Amino acid sequence: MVKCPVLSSLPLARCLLTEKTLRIGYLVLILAVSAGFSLALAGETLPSPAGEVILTISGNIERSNGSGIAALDREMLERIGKRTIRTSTAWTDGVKAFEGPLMRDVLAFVGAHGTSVKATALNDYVVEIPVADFEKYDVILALRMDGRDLHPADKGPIWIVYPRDQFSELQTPRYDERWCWQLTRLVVQ
Amino acid sequence: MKAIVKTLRGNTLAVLAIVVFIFCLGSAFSRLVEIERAGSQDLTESWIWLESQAEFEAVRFADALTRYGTGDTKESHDTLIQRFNVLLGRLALFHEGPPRRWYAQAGVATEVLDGVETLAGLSSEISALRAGDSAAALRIRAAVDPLIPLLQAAATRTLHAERSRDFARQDIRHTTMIEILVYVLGIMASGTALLLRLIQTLRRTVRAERALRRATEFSERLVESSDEGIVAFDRDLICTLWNPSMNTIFDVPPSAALGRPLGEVLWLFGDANIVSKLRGAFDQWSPGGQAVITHSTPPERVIELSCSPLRRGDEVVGGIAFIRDITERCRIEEALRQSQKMEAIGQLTGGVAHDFNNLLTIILGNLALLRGKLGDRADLAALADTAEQAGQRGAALTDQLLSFSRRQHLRPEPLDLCSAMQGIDAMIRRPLGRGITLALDVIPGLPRVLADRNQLEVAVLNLVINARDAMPQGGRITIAADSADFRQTADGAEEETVSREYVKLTVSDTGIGMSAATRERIFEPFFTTKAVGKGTGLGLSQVYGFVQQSGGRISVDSREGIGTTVSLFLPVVSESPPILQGAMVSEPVGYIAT
Repeated sequence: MVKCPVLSSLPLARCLLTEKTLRIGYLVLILAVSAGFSLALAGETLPSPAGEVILTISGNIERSNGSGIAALDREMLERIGKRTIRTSTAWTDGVKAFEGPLMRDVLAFVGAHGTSVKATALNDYVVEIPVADFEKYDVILALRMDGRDLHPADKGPIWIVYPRDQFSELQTPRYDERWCWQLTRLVVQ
Repeated sequence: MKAIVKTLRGNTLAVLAIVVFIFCLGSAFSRLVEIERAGSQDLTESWIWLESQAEFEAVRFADALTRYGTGDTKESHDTLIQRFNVLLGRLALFHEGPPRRWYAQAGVATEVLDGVETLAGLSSEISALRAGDSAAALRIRAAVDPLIPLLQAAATRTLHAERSRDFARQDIRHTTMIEILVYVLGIMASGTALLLRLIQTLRRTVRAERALRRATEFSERLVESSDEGIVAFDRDLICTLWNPSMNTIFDVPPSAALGRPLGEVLWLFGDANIVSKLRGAFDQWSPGGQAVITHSTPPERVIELSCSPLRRGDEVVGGIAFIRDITERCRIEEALRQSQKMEAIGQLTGGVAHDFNNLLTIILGNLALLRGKLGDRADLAALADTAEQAGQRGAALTDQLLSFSRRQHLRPEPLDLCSAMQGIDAMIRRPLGRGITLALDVIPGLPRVLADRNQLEVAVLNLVINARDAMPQGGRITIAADSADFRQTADGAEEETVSREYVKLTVSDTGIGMSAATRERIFEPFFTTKAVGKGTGLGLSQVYGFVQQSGGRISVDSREGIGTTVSLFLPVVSESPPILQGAMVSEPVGYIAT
């Protein structure tokens, strides 16, 4: 029998609990803990954004902050993580340094389950991206380029950036069209 | 290298085909790569989309601006800002990166770029714009509106450029495809030519190999099946060829001879002469010659060699010798010589006997006349009788001589040997001395033979007397008769080829036998081993002559100390009696009555 080290280390508990009661109690405790944990997960809500919402994530997600939609402001995104990618792009000159959270971390943050993500831009551009991309490559939601925040008037506030220079297969139109700028909405499917 | 050049010169067509093949393959491949590259460079469609999208977003912004300026409550300030940002973001693409390079290259409106600059400068004014401020809205529109036709014109231009590029590309693709088709045809044609050439070469090689194999097999078969022994050797007399007939002659298998010095191989055969004769092959004039080889087991064999040099160009690299076993030929030649000698002696003695017979006829005739004249003179008659008896003996002698020389007149008749022998039983027993027994072992019922009865009796008597004389210590004489096929029973060396049936009459004794030297001469007239006055030397000559004349054969088997057997082979009576040699004498000579 597996002994609970915490319980058996307490002299009083050892006196009170017989072998049988200990077993039942242990079972009950496990059940209670696991039930509570899953309840907490299911019902867990994300904190409400303090600043301007720049990205909404909807669809098959576990965590939200209101009617199944996760609305995120710049600060929340920055808190998820920061990764820098230095790469050239199909639309800019030279090598740029992009900063932002990893896409897979953002999706994990909202508890997303799905095979693809539909990204929509301010200019109504829509592109569907396989989730596998985010596992295979370190794709980021770039918030800054060359140390400056991306502005809505120039591909901001969020630009999906692939490590294009590191992988030759990424240097094709097929991947270039997944670089959605002025990103404003993600739908997990 | 020279060989390659030579081969190339001989195969101009093949070389040409190879060159064409490689050229066509290379060209077709490079053309395909060109087409592939041209296809992958196609990005213009995105530029058209970009320009159209920019135009659309400009229109949307202008529309939003107008409505906001007129105080339309549906239009929020945020939406207006967003539309402005979207437009600016779009137009920023004209400013940098690959799109800017392309526009610069295509000569697209610097006005557009200028317009974008102006628009970017309005951002603070737009932020501050209040709903219903139509004057300010119009001011801003004045900056946006000219952009719309410019963008549209740019899109149209790009479209036209793309179209003409497309047409040009299609033209190039068509010509390139035709070119590739031609190259493919070239590849196929030259490939087929090469393939045919290859097949032809292979076939020729196979055919040449087959012909060579046939030729080799043929010459091998020639050497293998030759009755003559063929031996070839190099200048050191090392054997390089030893055919099966050599094995037959020398009893040395090829495996024991090939690769070895012939001096060693032939050493066993005693005659160093052979090796020196073989060496003679290296000379221009080497007649070869004869040699006697001695095997470990007799008999000796006589061989004849002819040698000739083996040449490569002018150089003599070895020799070849053809060896024939001529033992048999030598034996036949010897027999022929013997026969010719006997013939000559026969002619001589025949002539002498004939003349002598004529003399005796005169003597005996005159003696008969003389006796008639003597009347009652008994004393003189006794003398005449003596003279006449001597004359008669002389006549008997000439008779025997004539018999040998085959000039005797024979009266052949079918004889039953059994009754003939029984008839002379008493006569032949008379001369036998003490201690000699005679056995008559003639089976009744044998086929009858064709012979002169008188001469047969004389021949048997002669043989019996010879047998008796060969047994001074006494012994046994056997007369036997049996049917025989001559070819089987006679000496194997006889050349008789006609199969005829014979009856063999043998007279054998247990006497002293004969030496080989004696045996060779026994049929010669006057040859005798008996003491002077004891024999005439004509006994066996008579036998020989009689048998020859009767169409038979005679063979003598004698061993010193053991005895002698003389066999007479007499022809059996057939439907058509054999022609008697005696009857063929062209000039029948006279004979004397005995």
